[in-house]
Amino acid sequence: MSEPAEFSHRATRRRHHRPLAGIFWFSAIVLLALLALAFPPDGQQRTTLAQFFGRFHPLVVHFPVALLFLIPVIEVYALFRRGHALRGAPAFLLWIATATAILGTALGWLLARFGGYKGDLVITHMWSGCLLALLCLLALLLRRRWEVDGLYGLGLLYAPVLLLAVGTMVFTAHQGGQLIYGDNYLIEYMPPKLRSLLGLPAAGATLKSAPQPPSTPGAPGAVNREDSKQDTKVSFYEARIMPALDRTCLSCHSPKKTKGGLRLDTYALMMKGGDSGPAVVAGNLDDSELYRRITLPHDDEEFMPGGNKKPLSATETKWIELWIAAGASETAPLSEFSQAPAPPEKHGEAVAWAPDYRPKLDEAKALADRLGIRLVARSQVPTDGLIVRTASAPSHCTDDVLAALAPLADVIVEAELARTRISDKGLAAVSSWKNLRHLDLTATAVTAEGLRPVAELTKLETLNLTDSRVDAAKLPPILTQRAGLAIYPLTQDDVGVDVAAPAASAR
Amino acid sequence: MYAHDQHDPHAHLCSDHAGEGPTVWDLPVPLSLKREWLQLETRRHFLGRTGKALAWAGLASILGKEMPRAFANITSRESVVPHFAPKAKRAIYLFMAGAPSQIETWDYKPMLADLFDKDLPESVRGGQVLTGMTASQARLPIAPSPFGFKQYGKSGMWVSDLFPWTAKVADELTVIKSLHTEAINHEPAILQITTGNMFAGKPSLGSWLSYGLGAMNDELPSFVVLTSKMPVTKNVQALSNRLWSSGFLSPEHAAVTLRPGGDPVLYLQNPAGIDGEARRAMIDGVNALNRDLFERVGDPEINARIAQYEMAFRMQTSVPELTDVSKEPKSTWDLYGEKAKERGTFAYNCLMARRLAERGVRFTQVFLRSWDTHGEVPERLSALCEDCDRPTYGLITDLKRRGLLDDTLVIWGGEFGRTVYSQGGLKRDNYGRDHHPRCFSMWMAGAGVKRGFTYGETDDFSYNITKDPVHIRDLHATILHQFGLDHNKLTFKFQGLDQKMTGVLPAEVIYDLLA
Repeated sequence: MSEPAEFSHRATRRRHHRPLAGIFWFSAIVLLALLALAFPPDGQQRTTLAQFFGRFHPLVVHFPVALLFLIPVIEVYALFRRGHALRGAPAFLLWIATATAILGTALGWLLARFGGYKGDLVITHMWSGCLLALLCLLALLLRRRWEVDGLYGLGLLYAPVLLLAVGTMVFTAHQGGQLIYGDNYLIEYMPPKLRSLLGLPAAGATLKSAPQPPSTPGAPGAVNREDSKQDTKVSFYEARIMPALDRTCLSCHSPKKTKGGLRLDTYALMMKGGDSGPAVVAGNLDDSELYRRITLPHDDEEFMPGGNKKPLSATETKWIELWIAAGASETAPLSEFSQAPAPPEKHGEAVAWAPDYRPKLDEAKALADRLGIRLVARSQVPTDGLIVRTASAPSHCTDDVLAALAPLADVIVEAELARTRISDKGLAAVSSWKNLRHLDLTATAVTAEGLRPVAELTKLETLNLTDSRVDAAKLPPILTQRAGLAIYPLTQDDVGVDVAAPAASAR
Repeated sequence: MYAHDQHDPHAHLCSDHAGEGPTVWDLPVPLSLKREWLQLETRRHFLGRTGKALAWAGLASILGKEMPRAFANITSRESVVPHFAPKAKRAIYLFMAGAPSQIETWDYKPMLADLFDKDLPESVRGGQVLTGMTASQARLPIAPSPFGFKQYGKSGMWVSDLFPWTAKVADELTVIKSLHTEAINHEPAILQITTGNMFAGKPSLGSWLSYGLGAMNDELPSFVVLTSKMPVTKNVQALSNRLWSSGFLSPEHAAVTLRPGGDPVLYLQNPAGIDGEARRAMIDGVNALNRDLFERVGDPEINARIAQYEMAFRMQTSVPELTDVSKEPKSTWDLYGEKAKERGTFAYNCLMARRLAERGVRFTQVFLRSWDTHGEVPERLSALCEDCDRPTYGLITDLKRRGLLDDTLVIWGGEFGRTVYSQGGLKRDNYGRDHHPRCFSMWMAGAGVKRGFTYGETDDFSYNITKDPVHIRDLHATILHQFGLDHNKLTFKFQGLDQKMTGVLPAEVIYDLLA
């Protein structure tokens, strides 16, 4: 049982008498720091063999990262298992960690210096890499003292220095992650609760120059409609161009990382351009390097964004095209660009149509069973409301059935009542379903007179009266003239029903 | 333990000991298969056995039939109701089997007019391997479209003279010119676009929708296929039920086909001497036996069979009502044309598709065949387009005026495209086109897709995509999205894999197509 301890004891005694190695590694670090001082990354791309080696930086740096996590684990483990074979391992692992930290830093410098990087984040990352290498070496030397002298003398410092090295490593690695994936990569999808707990700003508010969405407290999931009328003063640049660039370009073209000498984080710097000339020439698409790059075939070497980053969408590209063609103004208001395509709705972010349906599910089930109709959740989002569905047995649905649905009045958002036996009396019950958006009365006995109470449904979007007994001419004007309400069937003129044979069909 | 099974592996399967019959757990099959069986158990089975009042179960039960029977796939409980609010409640897919040429229809290439009988530049083909039908040709001479194009509607969309009627609703359409596929032959290509996979045995789009969303109307199947009489009968593609099968999903999600002639559904009518009551008694008896077997074995296929008997019985009433068009107003025939009065024509099927949509059928797929124009392109395309043009216009307009286009997705297209060069001899008015998987055109309308919109671009030869390619996977993901379904969450565990319509390769919803 005592053999492992003896082995490790012998091993440490032998290793202790090798001061030359420590001097060698120390001078490597100093040399590296001097190089970095003399030739800092300046944003100039120098295509040489150095860049080829530099690209191995992300690969190599994972060694010190993993090892520095592992070492404290082994130390603590070995503390409780005296004489365990792993006791000697940390010294060896620290040695590898030191060597790879130095190598990784050197490669990182090659990448930054020759790959055209510059910016605060790059510089901080580089120096914390140097510091990390130094701390690893220090920890390695102290570890040997600790093994020989125990907790007396310099050995006492081993544990704090090791922890400091781990902390520096976490800091440095996170910066590296930010350089590759962008600033807010880690926290972008952080749950809002955790966000506020950590005192972080709400999601989506990372860009200071972007317009803040008009906040509507108490309306969860309210869609941010940037082009609503009160926002007419917002410029097209702020509302459309800047957010598009932010999503796609700023991870490489901002003060933190400035590839090709180009920064796109402010209007002035964008107009100034980068190493390959001005990025945007107002009113001239052909000379605007930015536009040329984003419209190249995606497999072109010069296509932007490079790498495998998600390209700008067709809509975003169109915005940039229109904006440059119209003079690339910083202040031209959104309203001047009426021909620009609308931004896509934020997918997955639904507007609440009704209060949460979950508390009413038991009641809904009981009612549906008793009444012989179906009550269907519109989606898994509990604020999307319920649909009254009668397609299987329309004849089961009568005025009484509609009246019996009163307890669910606020969660019903769609009523599919086609071919049911309801009459005007039933519409009185329907008119209390305040959140109703779609009402299908196809082939029912309702009349224009009976539709009067329906006018109270302010959220109604469609009203389908196909094949019903409603005389369209007698519909109350409060319905026919309401904006945002589509009433079917459309007349022949609305639809452009044109049954004349088209001229071109003569063949 | 199973020693005796090895001597007589059928001992349990053939056992008829009443009440003491074997259950699935006694069968001499691998444990993994038993587990799969357990997963396939129905919701009722699952809930009945666990008796746990899961919060979800509350939701599950109010959804009634709307709940797919495969709730037992507990891991993907999402596949119960739409993941998010849907734009589409139903879809009508006008499938042009045989692959219509994009060059004469939706991908306008004015530059080709000057290149008649010139050779296709080698740089365009880029060394692509051709099919056996044209690989041995000495030349690949360019064949421009003899049909003109004009701009229509507020959007100014270019529409071929072959579609004078459809052109009137150009402002309702989103044309995608940049679809592409890997398959170069009909069977794999049609399978890929109907089921998402070139190999037979996967559930088709309609089956996935039926599984994911359930039926809106219990009296009719949720997935219906209509095959059409053909105006041209050259190079006809065989259609088989693998194109609308439910694959590994429960058989009740497979399509019911309405035949173009004779009884719409075979053997649906009671034979002479059998009345409804006798039929009901017979079905009740068969169902009782099937239920007894199900209690013991738990095989979901048995429940599917019970459901099919019940569905067939209900269809004895619902199908005659569906196919009775005597009450259609005159305006209907004005829209679809007189041909719609003839059973089985494409026009009749378009009208049927509208009637099915009205009655809450989730997915109707209308097949029109013989678009495989290896020769006589102008003549055959004229006949085919004339056959489908007016009914298509009629369908879109009819849906729109009845308020159904808001939540009905209409899709038109084939399985791949056709070559810009002629197969066989080239004359101005007679030439052929071979299969071309690198680009083809389709359109969609209604249910939240953009109106009067064209997406994607091809090069001057309609040979390679130059902008915004859309793979069939992306198309499927987008269609599912309009139904409120996340294609990555709509899964079914089979053969150890969470199977999904879009397969294992990445697919993207094309948000640019959506309004």
